[in-house]
Amino acid sequence: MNTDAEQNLIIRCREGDEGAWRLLLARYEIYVYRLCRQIGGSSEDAVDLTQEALVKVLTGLDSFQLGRPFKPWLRQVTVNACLNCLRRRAPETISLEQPVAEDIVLGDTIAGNTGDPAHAAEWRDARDVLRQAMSKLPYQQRLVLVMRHQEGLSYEEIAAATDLPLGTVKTYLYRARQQLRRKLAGVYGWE
Amino acid sequence: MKCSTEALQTFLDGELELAETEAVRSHLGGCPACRQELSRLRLLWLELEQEDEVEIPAALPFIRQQAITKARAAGQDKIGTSSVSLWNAQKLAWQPVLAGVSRIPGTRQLGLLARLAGHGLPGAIKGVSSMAGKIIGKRRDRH
Ligand SMILES: [Zn+2]
Repeated sequence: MNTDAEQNLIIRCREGDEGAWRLLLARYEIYVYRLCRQIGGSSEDAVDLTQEALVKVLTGLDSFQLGRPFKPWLRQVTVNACLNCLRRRAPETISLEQPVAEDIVLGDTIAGNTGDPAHAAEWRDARDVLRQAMSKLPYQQRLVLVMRHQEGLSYEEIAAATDLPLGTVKTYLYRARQQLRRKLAGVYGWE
Repeated sequence: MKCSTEALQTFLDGELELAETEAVRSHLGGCPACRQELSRLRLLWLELEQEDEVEIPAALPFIRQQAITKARAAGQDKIGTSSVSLWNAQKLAWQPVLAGVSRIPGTRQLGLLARLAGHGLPGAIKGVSSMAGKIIGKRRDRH
């Protein structure tokens, strides 16, 4: 769809044209779902988050500035909707005693795994380990990771999209990736 | 500069100032440990940048329809409900849900929806999927 057609569609959406709403959502719902899935960390959450985000897209279209690219606005609305939903939940902050997976405890992983790392590598490849580890991160850390590595945003852009201070963005990115790096170390047997 | 994984991360992100970038480069030239760490971080970066295979749920058109229903209800709240009778409001709220049902192509998706419904689908969709379950039930009876 060219930009003009898209802007026209958005104008029709603002007028409350339901056919236009349907077209707009059909065009972008997969992108929104993927983002929600990645930020939420589970497919169960993603369905609720997506619905919330899509409602906010439709009801918030008046705040979109015509003539601007639509995707960054869409991303921001989706991120805000996710953050609102996730914030409302009981905090799932991760403690060192909380089991990370089956019988592995995070404390062990940090302190240098007691089990044989080569053994772990045999039954789980790096991708799975990382995905699992990402789903256990605090949602704010997962959010900045997705913004950086999947959406390709700069630190400043992440701060703008997530409404987090720039310093916090850097800190979350650093912590999240250190944690994931430790997981990779377990898989590859790095010292 | 001293060894710093934080600087290496920012370096890989391309977010260092020019002078800092040069400092990291020259440090890497003389520090095998940081070169090794950098190659490990590169591996992590590669993994993180992989497009994640996200399975798109078959229920997505329902979620769209629900979002439209909710958005319209929110719009009506804004305008004020005085001009809309209760019946009209209910009719408006239900139409898209029912339209969504009639557009389902096959039972496979219905079954999937029914399974999904147990996993935290919003209430209204649960309602639809239990209806869908009844439809399947009837069809099975007939055969
Ligand atoms: Zn060094």
